[in-house]
Amino acid sequence: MTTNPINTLIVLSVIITLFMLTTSRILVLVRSAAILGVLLGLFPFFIHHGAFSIHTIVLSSLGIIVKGVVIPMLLFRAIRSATNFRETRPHVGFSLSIVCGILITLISFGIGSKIPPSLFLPSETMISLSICITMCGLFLIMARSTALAQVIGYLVLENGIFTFGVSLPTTQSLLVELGILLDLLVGVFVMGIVIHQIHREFDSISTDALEALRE
Amino acid sequence: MKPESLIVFLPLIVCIVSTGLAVLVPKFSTMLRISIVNAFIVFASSLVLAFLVAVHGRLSCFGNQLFLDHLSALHLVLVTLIFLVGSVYGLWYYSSSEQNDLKSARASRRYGGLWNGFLLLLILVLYANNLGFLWVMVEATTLVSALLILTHQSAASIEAMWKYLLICSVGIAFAFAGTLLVSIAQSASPAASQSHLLWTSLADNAGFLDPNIMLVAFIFVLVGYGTKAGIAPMHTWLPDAHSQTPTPVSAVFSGVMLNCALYAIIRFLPLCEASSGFVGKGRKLMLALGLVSMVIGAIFIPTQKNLKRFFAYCSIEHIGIMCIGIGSGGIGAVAAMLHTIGHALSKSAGFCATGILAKAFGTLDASEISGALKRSPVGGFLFFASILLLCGAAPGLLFFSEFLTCYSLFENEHYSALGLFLITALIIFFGMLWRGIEVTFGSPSPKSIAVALPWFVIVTLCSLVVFAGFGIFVSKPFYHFVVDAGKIIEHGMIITSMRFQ
Repeated sequence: MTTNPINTLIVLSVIITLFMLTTSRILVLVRSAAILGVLLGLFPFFIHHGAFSIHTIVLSSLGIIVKGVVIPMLLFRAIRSATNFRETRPHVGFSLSIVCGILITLISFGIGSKIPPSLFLPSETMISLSICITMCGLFLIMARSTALAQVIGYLVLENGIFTFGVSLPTTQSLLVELGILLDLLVGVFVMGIVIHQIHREFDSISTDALEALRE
Repeated sequence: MKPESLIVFLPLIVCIVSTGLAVLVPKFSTMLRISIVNAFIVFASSLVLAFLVAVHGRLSCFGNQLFLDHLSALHLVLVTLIFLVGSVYGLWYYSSSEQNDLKSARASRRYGGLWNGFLLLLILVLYANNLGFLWVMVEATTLVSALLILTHQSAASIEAMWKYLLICSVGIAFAFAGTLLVSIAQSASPAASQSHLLWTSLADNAGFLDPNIMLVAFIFVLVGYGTKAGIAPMHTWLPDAHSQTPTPVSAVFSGVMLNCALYAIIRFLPLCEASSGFVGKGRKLMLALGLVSMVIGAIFIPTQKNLKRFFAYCSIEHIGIMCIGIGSGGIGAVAAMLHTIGHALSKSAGFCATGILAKAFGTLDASEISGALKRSPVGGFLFFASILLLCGAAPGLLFFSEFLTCYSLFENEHYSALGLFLITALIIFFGMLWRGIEVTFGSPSPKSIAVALPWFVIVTLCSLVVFAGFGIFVSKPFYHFVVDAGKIIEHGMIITSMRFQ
């Protein structure tokens, strides 16, 4: 069991996700998201037990490039245009965040162990991991006030759902998966544009300034 | 591939070409004319396609990855029609606009590319047979339309766009999880490998799908695409986004983009229902969320001062009515389709009329607008007519669809839902009518100016209102087409022996 690379990857991913809940530095957050993307991109190589199809290789390498290199670069550019490097006033404090993160992890692995094995899933730990990462992503979106941290929360959430997709035995068509990657890339690109606009218009990237439209 | 299937490609090719042209042309007015020609050709070909679907049944091409049946053809005609209206109206709206931020070549190229690209993506949403491809396209429409909100840059529009982008992206991530669950459920069914996630194959073999997984998948999809469709309580982005876009874009947002997201949900509903032997668990969820949307509408519509927000909340209410129709079962699905048509026509007319009034009175604040009929007879007439239609006044399409929805609720013994539906509908009726009377009649303020409308805008908008008002009398083939679309929602296929004819 100890030599199983999948378990090592799962533990590393959980640690990084939890670490992201504790850091206030946006730069560190972007780097962690990149590492998480690369780690999760490695899963397909191990999960199909060495049965590499061209499909798996193309997709995984593209995923690693997009999530580990292209998206972080886009986000770094957005940071350069905005000067606020630190999350100073999060909606949920950092120590409380880590407590919530641990709770989320416990609950997700609890749910994962409850799923009956009849669902043709390769590993229930993968499902637990995907639930954990998705929930942590949602938590980041809600708990942080800077636009950039929220985008990273969205990325983490998307990563969690990707993990879910990877753990499925059935292969989707290449076209669809490429489309999903493209959507993710364009999504972050568009969000980067908005961060730039928010910064220009409000002189900060805190979304707390966005409160004119409400009932 | 049948030769008639080749026409399926025509709208796609025209859209791609005109998106390219619109990006290349630096002049704003030329770009608008290209958009009109594009929308017109696409609308005409969608009519031909709908006719072919009515005659031959389901059309499929590109290795069965793209397909068109009654349900998607109906939506296709609506989408292209509303885009045509939006393009024609835009020609007047932008030319008389005082804001100059669209006059530069860069802004013009951006707007043209986004507008025509948005149409292309919406058509692809309706063509998609592969549920994964459907997801990709719905997400892509979010990204493109988010940039359209930024057409007039202001603090408010940035805020609206940020909320729209983040809320809908998170929502659509859930829809993706739902799609993956469907793929798990399908792995147990025969013919899973060669037709993975194809809706046609899923619908034909729905009995083999695991009902529990399908129900969970449907919940994810309902929440996910429901966010984009503006179903309460996931609607919070909608009033902001609708109120900050230029009027032609608001018309398209409300008239067709919400419907396309709802369309994605109703592709999943028959799969969920058929897998569990039509016990109606998925339908009940839709019914419940539809009622929540009606309640939200009843709370916020009477108190809205901003006319665009007023219409946006009205959209939430109407999407709720469609959900209630679909959720009630039986003939309710046909009612929902009639409602979709009526709502798209009258709501886009309503938004366009709001744009006219905003020019005449220089504001969108309803408390500062009165006597619209005197200041701009056409604008005032269109505004009041669309409000009457949206309230469900007879003999409009929406009157018949709401009547059928009530009938369906009664027939399927959802009495408490019927009660809540009637109460909220009554509150909304008086709330809307009150606002409509206030704005339309009375004496106009001295600051307002008369607005001259060109003939093409008057003709287009009036024909929308006339069809939404008297469309029910059109013809039997039209009604049969709608009934067939309703049967697809109900059963995933057209069963000729079904009770409602």
